[in-house]
Amino acid sequence: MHWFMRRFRHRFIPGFKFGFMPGFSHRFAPSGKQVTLTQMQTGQRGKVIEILGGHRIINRLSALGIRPGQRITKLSAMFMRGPVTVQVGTARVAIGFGMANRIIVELD
Amino acid sequence: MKILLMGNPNVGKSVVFSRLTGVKVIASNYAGTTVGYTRGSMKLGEEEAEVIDVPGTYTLEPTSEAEEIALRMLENGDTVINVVDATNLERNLYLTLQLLERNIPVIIALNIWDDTKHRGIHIDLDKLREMLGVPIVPTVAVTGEGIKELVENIPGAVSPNQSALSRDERWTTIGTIVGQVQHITHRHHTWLEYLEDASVKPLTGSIMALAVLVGVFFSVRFIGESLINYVLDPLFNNLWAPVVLKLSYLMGGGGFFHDIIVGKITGGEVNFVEAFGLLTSGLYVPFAMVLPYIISFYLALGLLEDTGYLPRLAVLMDNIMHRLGLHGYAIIPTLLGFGCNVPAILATRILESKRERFIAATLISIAVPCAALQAMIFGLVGAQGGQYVAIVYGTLLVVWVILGFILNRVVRGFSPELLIEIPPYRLPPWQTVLQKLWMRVYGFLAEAVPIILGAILVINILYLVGVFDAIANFTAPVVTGLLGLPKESVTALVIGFVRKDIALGMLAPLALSAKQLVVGSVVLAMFFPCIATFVVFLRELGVINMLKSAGIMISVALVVGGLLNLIL
Repeated sequence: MHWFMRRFRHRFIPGFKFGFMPGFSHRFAPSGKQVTLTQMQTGQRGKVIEILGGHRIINRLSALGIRPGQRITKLSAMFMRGPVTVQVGTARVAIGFGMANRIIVELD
Repeated sequence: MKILLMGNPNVGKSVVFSRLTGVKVIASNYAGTTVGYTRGSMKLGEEEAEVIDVPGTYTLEPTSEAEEIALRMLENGDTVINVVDATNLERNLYLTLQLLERNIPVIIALNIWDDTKHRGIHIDLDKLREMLGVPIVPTVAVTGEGIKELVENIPGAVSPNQSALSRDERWTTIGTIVGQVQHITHRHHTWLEYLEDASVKPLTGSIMALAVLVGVFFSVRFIGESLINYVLDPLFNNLWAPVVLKLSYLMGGGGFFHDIIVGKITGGEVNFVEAFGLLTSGLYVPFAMVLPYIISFYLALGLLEDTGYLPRLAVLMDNIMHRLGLHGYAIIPTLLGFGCNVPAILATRILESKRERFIAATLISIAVPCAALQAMIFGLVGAQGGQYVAIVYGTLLVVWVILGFILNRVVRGFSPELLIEIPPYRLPPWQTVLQKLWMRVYGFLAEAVPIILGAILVINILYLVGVFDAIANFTAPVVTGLLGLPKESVTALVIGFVRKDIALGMLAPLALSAKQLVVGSVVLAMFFPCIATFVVFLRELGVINMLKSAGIMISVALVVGGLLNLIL
């Protein structure tokens, strides 16, 4: 199976194939109930576990209430790698695809 | 005394500002409406206090130009009114805690207080006051509720001088505070909330966006056209024309002063577009051709802004905008540009990187015609047939896409990703919609009418002196050879630097064919920004970027104009 995974991993790990999202998503291989925000289904709820990214991204996301430990609900995802919209607390936030791909959520 | 109004984006600072000072400022329902700062003054007891409306910021670590302005303002304020969205307490308190760590007295206006009730949010005010150690006044700025109490409590603002915490410590503190003072009861979705969800889902959202944009376009045209046909044209033709004719007769029907004041009158009838005198075209162009569209466009834009639809459009457009080197939020400055390019280029401050701002501002200056120019396009090109108007818009759209695509490849730097808060839908009270409309219409009248009159005066004098003939002969190879326009039309391109509406008006007396009008309109739209836009562009992006952008504008205008001339 190993060759299979290597050949087709871009199918399973979002962002793998594309150059414009360097390096973060493949560091994260989904395990159990943990998924990236882009892998989450619309309507699913979960808890933010980790944000894979630099200081700047973590700061910007946390200012909008998205930080480890927060409960979030995925409201929608725009087609063709568009932004993901989530509900966090009483607020709604839209997050670009690449950034959403770096947010690890543990599903309920 | 300097009072700063600070808070997260879209919590109503500008509305509180208007209430405190009586100074009217543009307020909308999306993050980043205020990108500069506005000053006003208010009476505080016997004293006159200066109030400053600061752009919204989530933290005191700035991520955009607008937020940097906010931070700079904080350095020299005396008191902060921290406007807090009561329906979003947790997130708003982060900035509050940061402010409390500064050595500056703070008072909190807990705004949008009315919404907490029907959202099932209960906040224990006394406990919150006790925990933060500063006065807190619940307010509803749109209705003015609580503003009096806020003013009374400003002298009571204190600085608790909290010790500085780390980011995680602040969030832990906030968790404790919110856990103790806020209590949320479950309740059912309202119909507005269902609509909120539908507008960011791919399928329903796209359908809604299309419906909204088509609806806006047709209502803008319908209202604008109706105002022209049923109100302003009859006024000018039935009431003003006889006065002009009488005046023309009294002035002897010709001569230097007659031509400047009344313009050219042939066959005993006044052609308000072509006469080109101060009392004919000078009044008709701004009042009867442009004003109706200013009114209808800003009415529609105001409704879009205040309901909170625009950030949702940004989410839908994000994909496409990424191809142009921008992200979805850039659609907001772009839409503002259809009104006037000046506030649009200012609004690019909500974009984070220099590269994005350059691309957005260049695309707006080239491919987004302002309302005044559009009104003239409808008036003059539309008279030749609707398909020609469609060609003008279609060309501009294609240029917008292709040029954006190229700039995305060529301009260095990075374009960050979309990260925006989506405000709840709100039904704006009609008074606020009309008030904002009036501010914008007044702004147009105060700025445009004197410039148009001045331009007509100068144009007439230059014509009579013969300066324009010299320019026309000099540029004839380009204008005639490349663009297929009569050489006199170069004067319109020159005047386009002053105002584009009157510039397009100058093409009217030249008896152009439909094709020439299309080429003229497109080149005029793209060639160079008007002086007001030019100055803002220069100030916001610097000389070098302005020069680069100007180079792009001139070359693109000539290439596209030449191509249109060949194809059509």
